Amino acid sequence: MSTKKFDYESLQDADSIKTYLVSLTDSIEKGRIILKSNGEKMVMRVDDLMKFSVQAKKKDGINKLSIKLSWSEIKPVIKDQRSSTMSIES
Amino acid sequence: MLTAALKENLSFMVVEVARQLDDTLDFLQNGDAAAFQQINSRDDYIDNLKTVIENRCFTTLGEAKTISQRERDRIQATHTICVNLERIGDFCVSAADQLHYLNKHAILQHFDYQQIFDILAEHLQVVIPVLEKGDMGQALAICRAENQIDVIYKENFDKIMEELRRGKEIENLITVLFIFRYLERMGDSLLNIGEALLLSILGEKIKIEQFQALEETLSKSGLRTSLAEVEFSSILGSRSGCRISKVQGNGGLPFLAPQTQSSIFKEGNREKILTEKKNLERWNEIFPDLTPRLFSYQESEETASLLVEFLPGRTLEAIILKGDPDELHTVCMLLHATVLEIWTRTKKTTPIKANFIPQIMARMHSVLSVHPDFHRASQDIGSSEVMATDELLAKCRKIEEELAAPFSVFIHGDFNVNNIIYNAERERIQFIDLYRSREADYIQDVSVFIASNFRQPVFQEHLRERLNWFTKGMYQMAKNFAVEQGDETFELRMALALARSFYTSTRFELNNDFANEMFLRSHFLLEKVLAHQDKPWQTFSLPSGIMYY
Repeated sequence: MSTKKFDYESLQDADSIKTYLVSLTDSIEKGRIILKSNGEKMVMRVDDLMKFSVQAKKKDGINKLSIKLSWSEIKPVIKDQRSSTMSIES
Repeated sequence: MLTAALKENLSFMVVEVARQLDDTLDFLQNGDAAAFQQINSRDDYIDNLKTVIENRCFTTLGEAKTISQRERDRIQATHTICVNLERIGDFCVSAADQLHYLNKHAILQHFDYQQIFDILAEHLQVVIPVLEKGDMGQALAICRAENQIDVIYKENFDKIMEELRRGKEIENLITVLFIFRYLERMGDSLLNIGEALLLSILGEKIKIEQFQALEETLSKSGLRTSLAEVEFSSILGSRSGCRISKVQGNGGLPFLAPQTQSSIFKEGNREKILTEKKNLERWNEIFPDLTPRLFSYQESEETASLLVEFLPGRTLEAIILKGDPDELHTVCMLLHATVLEIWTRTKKTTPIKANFIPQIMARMHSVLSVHPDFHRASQDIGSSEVMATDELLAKCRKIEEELAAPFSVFIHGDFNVNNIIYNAERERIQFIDLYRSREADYIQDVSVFIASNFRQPVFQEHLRERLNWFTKGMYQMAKNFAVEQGDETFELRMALALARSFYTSTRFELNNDFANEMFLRSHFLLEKVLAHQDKPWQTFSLPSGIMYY
């Protein structure tokens, strides 16, 4: 199983954060999110259904807001029930 | 005092190594096979003694409930001495072993190796007395013996080369050269022993060249007695490549000229020390009493040394972190007044470029050697592009090339809170460590000051408030000055300067999270500057929160 990773951390102001978020929502709308690092590309196809979670924490004056999207590319196998029915003939 | 057992074992070791030297000399002269056996078996005994002494040194240090620094130094010195004695023992075996490759034993006798053995034997016999009594003269004599051995080595080396050029007895002559090489290395070990003895006497790790520089520098300044009477303590590391130590007369002894009762001795790279000397002279012209007085200067081929006044008082760092609030206000006011006066007095209306970005580039290697991941690759997040560090720096450099401060001032050059001294008695601010002083953009000093506050590794809220308060004051003062002077690109240059100071400060910070804060801030500032390039630079606004942690 290959693992691909993309990692980006930065300091931004409200304006530039908005730009990044807009760029991500645009990608979702277009159906694929492209992430590149040093020319290496990672493409994530957007699914019809994705898990979307928002977590927030406030502790000792430190704020943390995490937005997470997760989904699987492996589709459940749906077999035609009729063709898979076993028949024994004599 | 060293434990009796430790002392006894070290004495045994000295005796055994001295015997080893005797037997090696004997073997080189006579080539008796039985002698070689003796040398080999004694080597095992010397190795064992070394292990025993090493263990005792470490156990003594570990077990002692209270142990004075002096005693600690002596144990450390004992350890270094035993390691180097063992090396001399090893070199004896190696030198003796070479004799087996010699076809004509007589060839070796054309060369004067005995002298080296005599010097080694003579100085080894005083190692224990020097360690016990702390005789500085003899410790120095041991150090200097290495030089005598080097001279003898060189004479014989030249002679061997001359013979080799004749083209005869090549193999034998090479073997002789190897033997001399081992003897020369014995001299190096003897020097290490001498320097360990200096450590036990002075309580300081000092190299013989530095010691000679200190001796000459002090003598130029009116010292008329033994250096053993002088307290010598290292007060700073050697981040800048210079050794910095405090020199003090023991209890204010009368032999020291009054001005050198307490001074700072700096020794290191000649260019740096010479620049500092010139800067001190320049500061003295501009602003007498602001910087330490220069007592003397010495230089040799590669290094130089300075003896300067030790300024009594506390560093600004100590005051910010430990001073009382009233004092904090007084010091802040005085600092601003002093800085403003320097800027006003030294202002020259010639525009000057600060080159903040090249300063980052020049230090990138040091940053990456501490934090290898503090270098961003080019990235895309959807349609948003993240610029790689190199490209970001290159673009900001271009922007910077078109910018210059409208005037220059004479800056400190390393204006961090450790280099500012407050003398409460005289109520004055003074500067130290001035080898980077030059005509430059005043923003350089301001940004270094702000970053030096920022990077203090203290995280208690009340202390951070103090640091932030000091930062805000300095920034405001500089900003007001900029407005008065009509400096319209102040905030933009400040962004580049802070980007530089944050980035390069990471190389001194091993706490990865904290260093990362500075790394991210630096990139943010550079990106901000770049994003502003289509608008007039005068309208650039520095995100003020960037300076505070």
